[in-house]
Amino acid sequence: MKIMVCPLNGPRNITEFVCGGDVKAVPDPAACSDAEWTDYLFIEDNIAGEVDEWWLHTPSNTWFIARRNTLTDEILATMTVADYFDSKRSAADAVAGAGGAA
Amino acid sequence: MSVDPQNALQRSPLYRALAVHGAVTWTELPGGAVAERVGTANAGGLAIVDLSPLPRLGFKGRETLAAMQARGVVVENKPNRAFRQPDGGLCLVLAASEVMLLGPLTGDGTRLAALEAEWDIDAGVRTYPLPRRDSHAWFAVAGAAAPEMFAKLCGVDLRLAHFPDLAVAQTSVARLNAVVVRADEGGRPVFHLLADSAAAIYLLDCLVDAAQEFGGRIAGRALLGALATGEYG
Repeated sequence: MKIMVCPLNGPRNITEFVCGGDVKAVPDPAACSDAEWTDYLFIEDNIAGEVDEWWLHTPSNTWFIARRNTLTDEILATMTVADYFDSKRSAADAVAGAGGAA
Repeated sequence: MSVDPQNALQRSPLYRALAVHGAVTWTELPGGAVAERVGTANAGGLAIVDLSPLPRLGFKGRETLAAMQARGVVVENKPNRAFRQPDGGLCLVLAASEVMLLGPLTGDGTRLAALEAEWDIDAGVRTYPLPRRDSHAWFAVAGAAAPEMFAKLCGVDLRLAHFPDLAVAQTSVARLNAVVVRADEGGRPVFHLLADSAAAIYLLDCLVDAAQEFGGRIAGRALLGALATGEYG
């Protein structure tokens, strides 16, 4: 059976997991247009390649992030939600810092 | 003295199923009646015990571990580890923000009841109680063959050398979401299994079926007491 590594519980059978869809930025529901909200709720990019996705380990109810190749169905990495958004934030800070220096 | 479980305010979801498996001697606890002995023969290499009438409680929330420590619960921030309590109970750390407390096998629920009663939403501490007694059935599987039996139902390696005393696994057992914790009694391996109480009869059937080839059968709570005191050979 295919094995996925939960950041909290370690390697488990893939049947213990549920995919929660792509990681997307949530638009401000009070300020965005109907089209933007519809896009967030229903429209998927359906990328053929590497994507970041929400996954749930159902026995422990642990949500986490997995990077997966949708062509090969290979799970490249799994990480806690905190680690994922911390790394995104530091990457964005690095870009902002480089932009400021230029 | 045996009591009629039907006269208790709360019953194990398995009380009828246990009666089918042999003569049951029941002991009354504050929360209901627990099967003390099932059948007359000693269990072989493997015993399945229904502990569902015993007290248990969960807490969840960002400040759960600090709140538990402040109230005298022995616990550290080590997810998937359990900690023995001074009263004989267990505290299972399911995540940095969630614990499950299992009462002692004597059925004394005063400490857990006090923890639940002390909780006050207005105190502003970010933790809240979860009524695990209502949501989860509680089995104990005792015996050296338990890891072999679990290998038929569960994908996690529970062999004694790989899954030490007080280890916790949150996984799928017989396709049900479950929590497995090893808490030895008197040096003999005991695995506690907690899963959805609505599927308790299904899970009991699966355990009995899986245990059959190892000479396992259903036993009462008295067997765990005998293990703890070394009376059970």
